[in-house]
Amino acid sequence: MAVDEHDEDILLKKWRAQLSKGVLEFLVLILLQKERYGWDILQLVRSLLPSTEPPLTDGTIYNVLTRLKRKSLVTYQNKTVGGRVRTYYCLSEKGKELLAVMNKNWKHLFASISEAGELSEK
Amino acid sequence: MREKTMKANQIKKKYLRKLSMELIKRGASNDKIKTTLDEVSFSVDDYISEFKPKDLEEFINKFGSSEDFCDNNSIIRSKVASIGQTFLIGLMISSILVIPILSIVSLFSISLLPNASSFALILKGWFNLGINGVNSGYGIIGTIFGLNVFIWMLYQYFKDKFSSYDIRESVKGAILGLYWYLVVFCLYLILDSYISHYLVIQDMWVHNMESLVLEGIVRWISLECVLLITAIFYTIKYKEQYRMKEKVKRGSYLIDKTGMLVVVFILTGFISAGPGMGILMLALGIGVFFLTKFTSKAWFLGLIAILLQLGSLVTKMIGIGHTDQYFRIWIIFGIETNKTDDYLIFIAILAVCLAIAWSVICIKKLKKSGHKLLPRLRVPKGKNAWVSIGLVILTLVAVLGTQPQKVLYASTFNINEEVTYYEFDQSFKFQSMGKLSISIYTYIEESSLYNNGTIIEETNRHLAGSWYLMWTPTGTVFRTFRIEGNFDEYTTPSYSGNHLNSYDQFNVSIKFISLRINGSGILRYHLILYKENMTRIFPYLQMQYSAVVPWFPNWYDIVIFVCVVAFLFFEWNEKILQTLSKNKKGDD
Repeated sequence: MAVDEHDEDILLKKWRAQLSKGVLEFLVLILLQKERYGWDILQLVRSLLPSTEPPLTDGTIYNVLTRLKRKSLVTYQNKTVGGRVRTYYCLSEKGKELLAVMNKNWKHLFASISEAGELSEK
Repeated sequence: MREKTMKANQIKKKYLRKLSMELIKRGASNDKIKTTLDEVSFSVDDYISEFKPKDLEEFINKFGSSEDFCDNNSIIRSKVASIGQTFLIGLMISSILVIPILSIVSLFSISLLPNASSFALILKGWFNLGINGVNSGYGIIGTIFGLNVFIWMLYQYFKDKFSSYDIRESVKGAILGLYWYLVVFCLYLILDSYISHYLVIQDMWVHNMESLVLEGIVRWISLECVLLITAIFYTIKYKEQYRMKEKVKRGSYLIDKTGMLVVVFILTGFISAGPGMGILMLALGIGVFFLTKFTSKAWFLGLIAILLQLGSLVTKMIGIGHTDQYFRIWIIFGIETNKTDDYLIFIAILAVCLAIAWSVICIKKLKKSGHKLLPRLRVPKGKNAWVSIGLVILTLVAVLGTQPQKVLYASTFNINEEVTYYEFDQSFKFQSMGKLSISIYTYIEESSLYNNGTIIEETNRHLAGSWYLMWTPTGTVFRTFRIEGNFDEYTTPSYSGNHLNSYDQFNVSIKFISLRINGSGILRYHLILYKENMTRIFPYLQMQYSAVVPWFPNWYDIVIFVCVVAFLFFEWNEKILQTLSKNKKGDD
């Protein structure tokens, strides 16, 4: 049965949304291997993921950072730069451990997708 | 700097309120809403401190709207859950509105005769203190106590349910406001009973009943003190909670930590009959049944509350009609009925079955959750000890003394009927020894325009007729009496009353009698009234029947006192300590 254009669009949107959601925390953790502040992370994520579904708002990134903070996956400290208080985040030991596991899983997943592609080409 | 912080807080509060509304609309669970709002509040704090938005609009444009947030976090609208949330909000609103509505409605029926208002159908005037304000007060202690507990239960119930950023958080403020409303309303009722019924007070004072008048004053002052002190405590705690944004420390006060369901049932016992009230309370009870937590305290209170219904069965006994026929009126789960004795037995069995069912449910749930069934003695220390002792003393003073049963009967005489006089006969049955205080009144409504616009001279307005009261014993002690008098001893200038619309309303004090009954018997009230120049007259009498030992509290009061002591000096809902080696197999 053929999938009409509308259904296809919805499916794609859902898939993108799931993908963005799944990859966002991983991406932020990768970026936080180096000390960064909110705005910096936001800009980097936007440039790395230009077409997320739904579009990324500032709040989304800040909510991810709060979640990571509450789970003690990142450490943070406030610094005053040019009269503004900025919160700088960096991976904690726990965060580093999680990132290592996530990296491993990601590689597995990537390998599985590649393998699936190769199997289809044969 | 301070102004900027305030502005930032406002933006944060407004945004989170919007977010809570969106989450409610989408039917997110209460737990989800709470955790989400608390989490997002940190993100908002960070974002605002970094970007300093000027206003909410700018903030939403950059940070994302509440809809964006829900979409980003895959919070999808669920129709069923959305209906559930709407139901909960409806329950909250109705719970809050019920108190002022019923009390305001009761003010209409508080007028001097109960039949004067159609609102009496909704709530028979049991808020009506009347003479009781002076003479120890029927049911008001229980009613106020019940409402007090009810309101605070609402607060306790909602307290932990919502994040402090939730739009529904404002319900707590409304409940606290209601508490203060109750304090003021009670004060108004007390003052009103003394101001409106000063003639009765005068009667009592003249008839050597000064001690009763003074007793009444002491009791009402005590009650108002209890309400006022608790209201102040609750306000302080509420403000502390709001400021600290953390849970209120529990366990210090009488009505902390208790389940709400049971109070609803207790109320149906305390607040006497009214079909509207009964149905409302039952509906609330059923609604809350599905939402309450099963704790040992809830079990205890529920048991008392259900069994209290049995006590309400025999609280009212009035006679009716022109013969000596009479019947009882029972209050069953808040609904008034005059069914036969068989019905009484059926209800008694029903109440016992309910109590057993309630116990089985609670014991099972408590055992499953690993809580102890029985409480443990806890001696309050330091400041809590003084507060506890103070509350016990105040409650003791407030509940001591007779809670007389009250009967107020009014007969309606309409001028349009083609008769020149009315004859009226009413019988009341009393089943045990006690003290009976009777006030005979006549309520008069006069129009200054009478029959084709002819104005009646004030001097021509007077009552005409006679009355008698007769006591016929039905028990072993045979001692009868008869007392009689005339209505026409009273003329317009001695009336007291007020002006309402185009009518003048008066309340005429006819006779005050106080007597001791040594056994069961029937009191008969008979009157003949000539219409004369009156437009409408409603003769009525008000009786109060007190137990033979005037200072002994009735059993509702004993229940209240026992509850106060039980909650202040006992530890409830303790977890059973489990050893680590214990095999947990089969726990679930």
